[in-house]
Amino acid sequence: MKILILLAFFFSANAFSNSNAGVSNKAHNGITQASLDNGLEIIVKVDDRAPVFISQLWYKVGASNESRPNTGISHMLEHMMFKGTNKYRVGEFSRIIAKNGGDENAFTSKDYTAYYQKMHNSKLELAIKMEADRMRNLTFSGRELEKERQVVIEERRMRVEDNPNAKVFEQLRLISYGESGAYHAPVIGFQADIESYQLKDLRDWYETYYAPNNATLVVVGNVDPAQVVAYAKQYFSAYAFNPKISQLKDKPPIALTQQHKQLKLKAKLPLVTMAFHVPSLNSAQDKSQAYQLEMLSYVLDNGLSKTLIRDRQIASSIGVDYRLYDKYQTQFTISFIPAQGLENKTVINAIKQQVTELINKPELLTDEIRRTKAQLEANFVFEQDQISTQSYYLGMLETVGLGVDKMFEYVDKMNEVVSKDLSKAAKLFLDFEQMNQVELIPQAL
Amino acid sequence: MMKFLLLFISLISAVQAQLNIDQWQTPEGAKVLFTQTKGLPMLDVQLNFDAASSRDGSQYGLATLTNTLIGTATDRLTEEQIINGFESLGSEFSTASLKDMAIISMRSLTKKDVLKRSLSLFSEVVSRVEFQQAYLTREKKQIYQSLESAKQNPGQVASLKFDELVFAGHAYAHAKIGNKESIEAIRLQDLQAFYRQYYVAKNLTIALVGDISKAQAKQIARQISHGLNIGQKAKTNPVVTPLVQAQQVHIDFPSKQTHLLIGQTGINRAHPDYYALYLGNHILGGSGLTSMLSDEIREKNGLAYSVSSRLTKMKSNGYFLIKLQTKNSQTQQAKNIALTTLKNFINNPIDAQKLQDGKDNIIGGFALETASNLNILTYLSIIGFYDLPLTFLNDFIAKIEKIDTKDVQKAYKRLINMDKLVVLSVGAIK
Repeated sequence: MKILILLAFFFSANAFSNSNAGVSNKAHNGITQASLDNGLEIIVKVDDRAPVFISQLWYKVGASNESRPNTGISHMLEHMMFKGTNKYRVGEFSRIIAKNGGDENAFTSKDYTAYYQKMHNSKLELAIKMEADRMRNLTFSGRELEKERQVVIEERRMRVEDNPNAKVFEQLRLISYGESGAYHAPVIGFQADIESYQLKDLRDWYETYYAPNNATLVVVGNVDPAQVVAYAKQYFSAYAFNPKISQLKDKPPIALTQQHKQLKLKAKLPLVTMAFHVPSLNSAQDKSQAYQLEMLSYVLDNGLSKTLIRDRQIASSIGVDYRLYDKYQTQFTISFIPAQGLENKTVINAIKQQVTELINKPELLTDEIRRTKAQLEANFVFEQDQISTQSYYLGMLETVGLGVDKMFEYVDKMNEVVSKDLSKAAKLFLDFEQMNQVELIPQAL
Repeated sequence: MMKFLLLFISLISAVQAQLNIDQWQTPEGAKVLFTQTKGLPMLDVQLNFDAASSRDGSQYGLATLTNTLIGTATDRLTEEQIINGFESLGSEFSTASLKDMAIISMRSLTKKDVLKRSLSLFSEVVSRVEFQQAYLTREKKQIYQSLESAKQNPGQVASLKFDELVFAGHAYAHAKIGNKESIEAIRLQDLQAFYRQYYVAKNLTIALVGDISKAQAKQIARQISHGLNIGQKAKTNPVVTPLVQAQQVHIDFPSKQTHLLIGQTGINRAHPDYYALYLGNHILGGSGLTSMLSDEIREKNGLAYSVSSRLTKMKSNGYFLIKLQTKNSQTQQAKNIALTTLKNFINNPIDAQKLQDGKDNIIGGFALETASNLNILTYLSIIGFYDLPLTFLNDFIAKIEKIDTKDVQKAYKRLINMDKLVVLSVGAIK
């Protein structure tokens, strides 16, 4: 596949040659990649369907780098990034981007923090210039921190405290992962930690992680890749390479098994989530196993929806989730809401039965796998409709250490999976004796 | 196959300055809007029937239930055959029911064979619907669960109550999924009758966006509309009338935050103040962090994570709404600031710089509005369904440019009477 793509693409490594000293380039899969001497990675994908672009700056830091009493600090810092630099006072970043027609925001997750602007393509320089400015020049105001701390606590109340289902998934991570490793604490942080960060903690976090060699600039849209690289060089190259980045300690998750918890919450509907520790693509020794788990999640999701919701009507919703691209090992989860008046046990048994059948008679899955492959192939095209989806995959893959090629390998890798692989993967990983489980037991509102 | 598709994607380029929309009617009377986009080998089809909950009459939930059952069976195919059919082609089929629009949509690759088979399945699913008791019984149970789910979410409790208050006495007032009693009473014949009356060509707007020619689009629209009865366009509902008195309502809910909703009857898209109100709302609370409400409530006071205002522009008039969530003990403070901000906005012209910033944001970012097939599809549906001129998008910037600070103030003064607001809170006031 790659060879044809290369032929198709008018960008070649030659287009940049070595005329741009200090910048190294490669281009394939329609993607231009470059890096600056200070370590900043640049990824550009041209999409000229409309005169717009999205520019994202991804930092390799997120909740998985944190520990108590600083859980949620990556997210808090994300909020503080809108609170002014030496050059732009509080709120001015957003005002200038808005005045120039931009749509901007940021997001924090377990393994990354990212900032973005979506704008008309005449505003490319502005977006890169302003994003570069706040990589290094943030002013930390105590007054702004106190206000923003309240905003984040309100965010936590809205997203988690007043949302029983979100509490279930927060609880699942708490019981599934040891406290001193990654993925235990919520991305937004524990409330006690949010209440206690000092300005110094945030500044230290910023100084440690916000460096060119810990970041990736991704631009997708109607832009000239050479121009993107030139602007990046102009605005980022003054920043020094931070040698401490490579000395940062990795903090992989600590997998706990056989953990069960019942949460009694004011709610109307029960919810059950069952989780199995599995490798992600990054952590897998045998990479094909990760794609098998990915296929298994699609096939089980479809299969369980058919049997439990449509046919037997013992569940009103069901979802199977696998996070192929997590930085570390991850969990494969099966979550459901039982039909009204049904015991959780009834549904759990039905799920076990279906998994057993899948293990014993993989040949029954052949059609389901064929249909899933057709959907994934089509999806690959559909997902290119939004420049934000394209840039998300590029930035995320680079940030977790997988590299952008994985985006283009995905469909081929999934096409390699056959029914027997699913049987093997299910047998190996879906061990109901070892699983972790959280049950929401509704209490009267 | 993938290789071919990728080649295709990377070689074609097109820069759209303006959106070209073709509009015509099928022989059966369906309105069609089409935009050709190049660059991705895919097609989006969206059918917008005037068959949503504002057509429920006294049978609350009937429209949604009818729409939900489309895709469960035809006179030839079972549900599993339909689902497997779309999946095998990699095509996405979905339904959604709002208050004005009942939507049935499909996304398919434009590869010849795939598109042909997807369209043939799609038009069968839409036009040869067979309502079966087993599916009705099942979907009713699903709705009962949705009703329960809504009750545990303070945001949903608030938004359902707000509709009831602001649309009191109108077909927009009830929840689109109905209530336990109204759903229980719905029978198979009701769905059949509803479908016969409203899922007809003359009551349909088809939006098509993708990499097909106009000739293909004509043929596709014809194919979809051909299977439908011609029927009649649904009669216009009466407009929502402005509230005649203020209403302060509180619902006790054991949540940590109080959801505060402040609002009043709004406008439809034909309203003479449309552009002034649109621009004004953008500045007041429609543009995220830079809006006036966000500045006052969040940036200056740290009272909420999310605060916004919106104008829903529905056929028979929507609403104007300010919405925020804050911890219970801060409700009064947040309410006072929100009301004061609104009052000032109505009584004094806004700062000229703010107006210009708002215009710059809308105009400078306008290219983003039509930057994806999905966005264009939504606009075509709105333009067609709400009978807007085809030049709506291309004229938008010029209309916004003309608005001055007095226009905004006057328009809001005409629309919002501070003494007749709905003020709704849902939370634990203790």
